[in-house]
Amino acid sequence: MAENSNFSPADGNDEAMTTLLLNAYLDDELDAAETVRFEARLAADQTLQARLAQLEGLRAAISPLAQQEDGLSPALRAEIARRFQPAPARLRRPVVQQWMRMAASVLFGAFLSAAVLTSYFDLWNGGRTDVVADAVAGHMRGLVASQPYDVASSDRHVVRPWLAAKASRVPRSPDLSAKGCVLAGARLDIIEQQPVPVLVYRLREHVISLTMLPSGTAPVTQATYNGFSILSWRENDITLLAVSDVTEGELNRFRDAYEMTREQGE
Amino acid sequence: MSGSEDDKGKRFAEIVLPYLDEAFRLARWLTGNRADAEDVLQEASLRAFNGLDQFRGGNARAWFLTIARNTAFNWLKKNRTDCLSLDEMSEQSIEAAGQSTTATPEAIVLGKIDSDRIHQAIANLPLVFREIVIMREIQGLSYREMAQIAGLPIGTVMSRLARARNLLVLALAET
Repeated sequence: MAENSNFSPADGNDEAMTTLLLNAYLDDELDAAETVRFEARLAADQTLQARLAQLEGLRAAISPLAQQEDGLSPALRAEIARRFQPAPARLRRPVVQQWMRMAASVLFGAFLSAAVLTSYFDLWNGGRTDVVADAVAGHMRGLVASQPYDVASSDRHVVRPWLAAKASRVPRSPDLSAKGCVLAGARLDIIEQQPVPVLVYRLREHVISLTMLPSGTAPVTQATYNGFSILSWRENDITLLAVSDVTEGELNRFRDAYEMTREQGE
Repeated sequence: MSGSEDDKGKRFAEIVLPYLDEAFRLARWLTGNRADAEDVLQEASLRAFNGLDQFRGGNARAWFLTIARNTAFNWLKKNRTDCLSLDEMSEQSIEAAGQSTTATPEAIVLGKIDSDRIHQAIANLPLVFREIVIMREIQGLSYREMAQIAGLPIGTVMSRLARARNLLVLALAET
């Protein structure tokens, strides 16, 4: 608020200023002292309470729009990624495959995006190790950063909107504290050039990254990668992948606890 | 592929790719449809790629959204003459547009509103109010970020947001 020179609590009785304060209060943009002052006014003013309720009603009416899936088409994302990003080394294929890819391009025309071909060849190669490598890399980056998450909160009502604003779909973020797992926050990782939501749980001093894999990705079957335990499973139409340095058994118990909350309707 | 182009691609992947979805959403709300938003996003990506050297760290999300927002406004200026007048409206006439709603709205209680209606009400807002509502309520940006992205003082962002909400309450109260 500091750079807004018109903003002075002394004008608090002015109608226009009251409106701005009300909106800033709703948006959680007042500092602690201003919040306390405004809440005192609010408690004594029924008209102000009604206006706040009205703005909260408006916000509640808009919020479903923010959840709606009307995101970028995967084809355009792949096109932009390909146009401005050199192919990572792991995507450079042996000559024979490049020749086959060229032949395929000729056959199927220019409409098939590189992404489609890439995933085709990945399936053909029988491996989805790129997904695992990306997920573990994201987990490791999280560990070496000062915090393993971009938003720190144990409150899933904070974590979910933060993720929902950045990803078209968000995995469930149940409270697992009864099982010793505490929700610590969330971050975005890049898996196969797509941003995906990651929930970060803490189990004692260990960090568990729970990644929602890009849609259409099959669960990964391997159990370890670079010394990390890995566990992947499906829930409805989404595929989840947990990465941690806990034992496989503990990661299995984490998965069980997570799935248990689904039955409880959380 | 030269080393510096490799680096540039890497920077693009870190700075721009994570925010493509959000930029697309903003462009879709500003232009009103997907096809135009896709054009805007392609151009914004190109501009971001060419301008990567100008990104000096900090808030990558706000940086790319600024580019996407400005690209969308330029696009509208070029392709929609009806938006030109809005964009060039003086600050006074923008204020007047917002203030023509002088009814005391606290008596209006918003009941259950279906999402088509709220969608339409937001789509009908003048561009300068619509962008603020989208940035705040759909994208969850802070006042400071909105001011940076729209190139406005925070005070102007605040007054436009308040007026935009006022306009929406009135539009939704009509039966």
